[in-house]
Amino acid sequence: MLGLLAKKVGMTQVFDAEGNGVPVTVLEILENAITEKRNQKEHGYNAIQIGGEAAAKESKLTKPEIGHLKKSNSPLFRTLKEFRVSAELLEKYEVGQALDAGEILGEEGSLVDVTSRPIGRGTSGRIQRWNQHRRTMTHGTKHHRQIGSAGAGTTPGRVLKGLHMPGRDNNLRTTSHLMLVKLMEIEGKKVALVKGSVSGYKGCMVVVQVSKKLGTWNKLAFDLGKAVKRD
Amino acid sequence: MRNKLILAVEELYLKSDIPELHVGDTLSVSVKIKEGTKERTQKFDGVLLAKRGTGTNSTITVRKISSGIGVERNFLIHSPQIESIKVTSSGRAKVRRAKLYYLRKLQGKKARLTYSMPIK
Repeated sequence: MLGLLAKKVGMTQVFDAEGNGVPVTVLEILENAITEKRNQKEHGYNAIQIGGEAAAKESKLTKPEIGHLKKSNSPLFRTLKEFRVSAELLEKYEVGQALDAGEILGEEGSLVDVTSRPIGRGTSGRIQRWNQHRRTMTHGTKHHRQIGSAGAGTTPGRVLKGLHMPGRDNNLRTTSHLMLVKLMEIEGKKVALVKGSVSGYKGCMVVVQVSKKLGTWNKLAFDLGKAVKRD
Repeated sequence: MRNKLILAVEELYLKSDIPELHVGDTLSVSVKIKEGTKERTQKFDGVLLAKRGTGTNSTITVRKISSGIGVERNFLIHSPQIESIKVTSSGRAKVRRAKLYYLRKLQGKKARLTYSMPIK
């Protein structure tokens, strides 16, 4: 299923038809031109590769990247993203063609999934990372937020894999599912308003796709109104 | 500094007919209320205690005394649910604060504000 590359601009509040305030994330939809088509015969799978935003300078890209983009006469895209597609969909699109946001995401009121990488919490202790409890701060104890025992001694003689310990937290790609979307054009830029929040810092790259959960969550989609199912 | 694109998005939802509001003004706010399928307007008359927020998120706090009890309501001024906002006081209130929360503690004559003559 095809998706679009977009940039998170930030959040604001708009009003729905009934006048209720709705929190929205503003996404700027990027150029999304097709840079390569991958097919079953040559590559072993069918996919379409698109480019997001063009880099300011050629020196921002590596020579292999520039060589790859020159093959398709593309601008100097900084971000590339590949989507697995069906053979029929592969034939529909040409290299160099820019994807149309309305066609990919559907009209106003369709539901989308937005994938991005959260800001993260950096190195954090076991309490924040794994919701563990703190030990007593008083009564003479000198163990407050530490991890405690890492396991038994001679047997097994090692720390078991998967033990909850401190470390880098909350920095893995996440997807927000079933978000209502509204497309608009402002100052020549394509903009998508998505109801709710999206992970990541302002200016981060996000992938917007028609929701994969529409099939299983049809009832919810119905409740949210105006949802459309697409292939 | 707010992002230009976000300002442009908010611009689409902003009202242009909101009068200049000053803290201490007495206001008459008309609010649309839905009762089942019927829609009617309700008026809320009171003193403007505070303004906060920018763009679509700007709100006002209006205080009135309803049968002896102080009632305050916050309004999102750009919301379509707000039909109109009218300034009913003449001239600017003579206040030295941006938020008039001290009025909550005052009653009767002490809770009055003095107003300057309207500028012609």
